[in-house]
Amino acid sequence: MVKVTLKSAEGDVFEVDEELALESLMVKNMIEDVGLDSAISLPNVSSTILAKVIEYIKFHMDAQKDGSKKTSEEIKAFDDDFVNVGIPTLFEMVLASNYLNVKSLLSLTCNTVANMIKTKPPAEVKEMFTSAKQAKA
Amino acid sequence: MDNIVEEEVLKLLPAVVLHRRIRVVCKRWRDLVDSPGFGKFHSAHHSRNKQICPPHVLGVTSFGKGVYRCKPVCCWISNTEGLGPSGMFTINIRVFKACGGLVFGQMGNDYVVLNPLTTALKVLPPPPLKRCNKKKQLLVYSSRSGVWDKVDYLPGWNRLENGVGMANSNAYFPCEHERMWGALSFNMEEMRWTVEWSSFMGHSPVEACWNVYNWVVTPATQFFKVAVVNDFGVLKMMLIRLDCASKRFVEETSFPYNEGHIPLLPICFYEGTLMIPDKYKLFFLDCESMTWSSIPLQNPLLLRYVFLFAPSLVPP
Repeated sequence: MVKVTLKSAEGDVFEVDEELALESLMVKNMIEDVGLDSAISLPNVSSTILAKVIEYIKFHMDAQKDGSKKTSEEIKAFDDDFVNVGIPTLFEMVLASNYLNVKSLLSLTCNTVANMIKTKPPAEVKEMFTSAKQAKA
Repeated sequence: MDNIVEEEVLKLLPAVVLHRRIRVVCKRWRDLVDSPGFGKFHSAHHSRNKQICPPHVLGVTSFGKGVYRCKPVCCWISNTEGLGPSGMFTINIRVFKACGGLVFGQMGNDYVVLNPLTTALKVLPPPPLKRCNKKKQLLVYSSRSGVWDKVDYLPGWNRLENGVGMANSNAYFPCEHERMWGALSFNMEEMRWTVEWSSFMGHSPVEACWNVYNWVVTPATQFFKVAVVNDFGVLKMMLIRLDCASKRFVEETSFPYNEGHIPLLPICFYEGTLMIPDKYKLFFLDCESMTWSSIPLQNPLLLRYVFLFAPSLVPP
């Protein structure tokens, strides 16, 4: 199995299967451009977020494989648990999935944020976004 | 989060949430929601599973006194709940006008502006004393410069009554000029009068329904009013638009209305929805699809005079 080396913003190196890396359209394009020899550096994604993204893709790839025993309830439970993180982390995951162009993760995280916003009054939404911004800074 | 990502998230929200709440979070989001590009993006996403949500009004005042908050969508105002945390706004404000998400009124001898959303209250400096000569003047307060201005009426026109409405930095007044009726607008950015339309008295159907309070002006400068008419024994609530070009009334839509009382005034226009309260219900009319809907009011006895206003986050 061919391996792809991904380098996070902190410089940490993640070695993943090519099949998994191709789920990110951004990485796929990079591989097509520069080949597999050098590490693919992702300066916009921190190590923790990259690890989470890889975890997500891995789970869903396993779940889609033939002979997988995972039920749709289990997948949903994983997704729910996966996005059950603090708002700053969630926002970073939205940014990362947008940057890496992982469609399924982007829609999952965006939907989570949208659902959080939907029922909140404007003042609380504002609060949520400003505090997330401060946490990032 | 950067713009593209915000768009990704915001496009998932229903239009009602966008316009009633997201738009008022900050100026950048307001511009985003208003931009045609985002509109297309949003409708492309939602065209597949379009859902209809009831619109939502931020607040209502009754008797022109006291400000009440209505809960989003399904619930309505409660008379025990004053505005703000722990009844912060139980103080009496006599409301004159609600516009652009702000409420203008009088508290004691002071003129105040209240943002019901943030509960910020601004006390305006006392207006200049009216001079005793017969020259009629309009007092204009600018929140940018913080001073009052006196503006003379447009020569020849008089009997300016309480404004019909405010839209696009304009205040609209019904008034008359010798044997003419008309609607004037005063642009507060340019401090300039414009005659929106005028018509000779007795030669226009306009005056038959002319009443200063029940017109509403939309940002597209369309004048609307609601009238209850008896159409061969069937009572109907009718939405009438004043066509400025032909100076005629145009009946836009109507629906059977047998409630036995009349709509309360003024009606309110916000984001393509007209809101028309009567004693027991709040009617909504979506101007794009011309569909009517209504929700019951919880405290019908409390309401005699109603201001509806749309939310906004304009700094006080």
